[in-house]
Amino acid sequence: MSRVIDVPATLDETGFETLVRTAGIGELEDGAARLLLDARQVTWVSPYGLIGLLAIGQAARQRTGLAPLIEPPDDPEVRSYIDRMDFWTAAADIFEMDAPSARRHGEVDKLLEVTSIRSHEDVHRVVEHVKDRAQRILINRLQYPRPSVIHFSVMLSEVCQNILEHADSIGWVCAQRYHWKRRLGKDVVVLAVMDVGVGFEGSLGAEHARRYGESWSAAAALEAAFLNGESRFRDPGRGQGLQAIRRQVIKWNGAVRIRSGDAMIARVPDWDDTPELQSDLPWFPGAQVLIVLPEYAGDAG
Amino acid sequence: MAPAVAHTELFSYLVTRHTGRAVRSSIERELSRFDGAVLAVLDMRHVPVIDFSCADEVVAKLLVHGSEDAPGPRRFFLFRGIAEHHLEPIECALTRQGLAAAGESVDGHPLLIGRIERGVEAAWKEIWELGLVAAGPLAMRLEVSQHAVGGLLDELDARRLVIRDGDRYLSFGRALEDARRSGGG
Repeated sequence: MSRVIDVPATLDETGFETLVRTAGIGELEDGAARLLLDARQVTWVSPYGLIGLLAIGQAARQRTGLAPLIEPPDDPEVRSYIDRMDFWTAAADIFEMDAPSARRHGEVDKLLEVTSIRSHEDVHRVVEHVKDRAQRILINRLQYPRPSVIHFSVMLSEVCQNILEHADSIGWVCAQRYHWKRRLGKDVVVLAVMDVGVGFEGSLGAEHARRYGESWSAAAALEAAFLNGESRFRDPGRGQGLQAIRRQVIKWNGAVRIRSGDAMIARVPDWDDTPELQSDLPWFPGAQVLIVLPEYAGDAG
Repeated sequence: MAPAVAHTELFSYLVTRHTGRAVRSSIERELSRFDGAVLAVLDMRHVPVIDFSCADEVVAKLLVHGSEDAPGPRRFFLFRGIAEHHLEPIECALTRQGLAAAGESVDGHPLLIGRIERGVEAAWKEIWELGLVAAGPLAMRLEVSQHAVGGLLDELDARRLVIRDGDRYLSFGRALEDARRSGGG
């Protein structure tokens, strides 16, 4: 017996929230029915939505002890895109499904296909692998200056390491360029990184919760890490990664959102209207990061 | 007494804390073979990317472990081949811990990276240019009092940014030249 969860037709960060709410991940427990993510009606999916499916599947698996099922989208374009982003290779480790599709031909403006992060070697592979594509997309398509490829690599490395250093869990990364016609009227690079580990509140709790007392929460943990560079380690050298990402995103007038537990913190550029801090979201484990870099218009700040 | 010189060439992508730890351990193992003072020259010309975590593990922690408070013989560090893209992660890692490191840009210009007072930096640059100098002549060059220059030199010495040899102070650049001439570097 499976519980069928309809995946929203537009599977981006908003669709992910809807899906988390519908699936009720926080309430799932051992012995609950197997989840079936029905993605047949999906007509559009972003990198965040794509790895969001993996995160929801993995979270359901961890909480129920059962590998969830997934129905692929009916839309041939979406199916083809998902194939080309190599989604099914990572999905095969999470969902109960037939052998992953081998079709990966054709080009999308992908910077980085769906990649699982389990070890520092994976981070190395991702950073080294992305170099040529980052050069092509950031410099040729988004008019970024040449050194931006290195800054992007550093950002990628730090955000992926967050999984290894703080999540104690598997994570995924995916990045793509596309045209944000409605929202911005410009090309953007979207980078999504997720895990379903202990999350910021759990990671920083041992070191900081006592100081905060009853006000300790996922939102407080996100503020401590994202705004103040605090980490779970006493080592003063720790906690630089997120700070560096934030500074770089500000320079490029981009957006960054980090969701963890029931909260989300964001660096909001002038072209976005996301709240800077939310603390009433449906609970979800780990951390989910979204970075959006718009066409280059000079370094700010 | 001039220190021995140990050269290490760093290659490839210096990303992740894990890699940083491995690189630092290997450098520290190499340095532990020296009984006396040693000037470690780390060449970064072939490092296309260094991230913030790796900069902390390789650069900042090497300095902390080789600091005045650390046991064992004196260790000095010179980071060579520093390119524009290395600067921010290294600067950030050092500044966060109140540290400073001696470096040389890819085109050979001396530079101090990290947290450093302007006066201390001026003294360091002067010593780099002169190679070897005592407090008196340095005070004249900097046009400050003997007392003031004493404070600057004490700080440079404590932070292992120059090599004290009796009442004179040796720059890393001169130490390398001397070692080359004597066949030891």
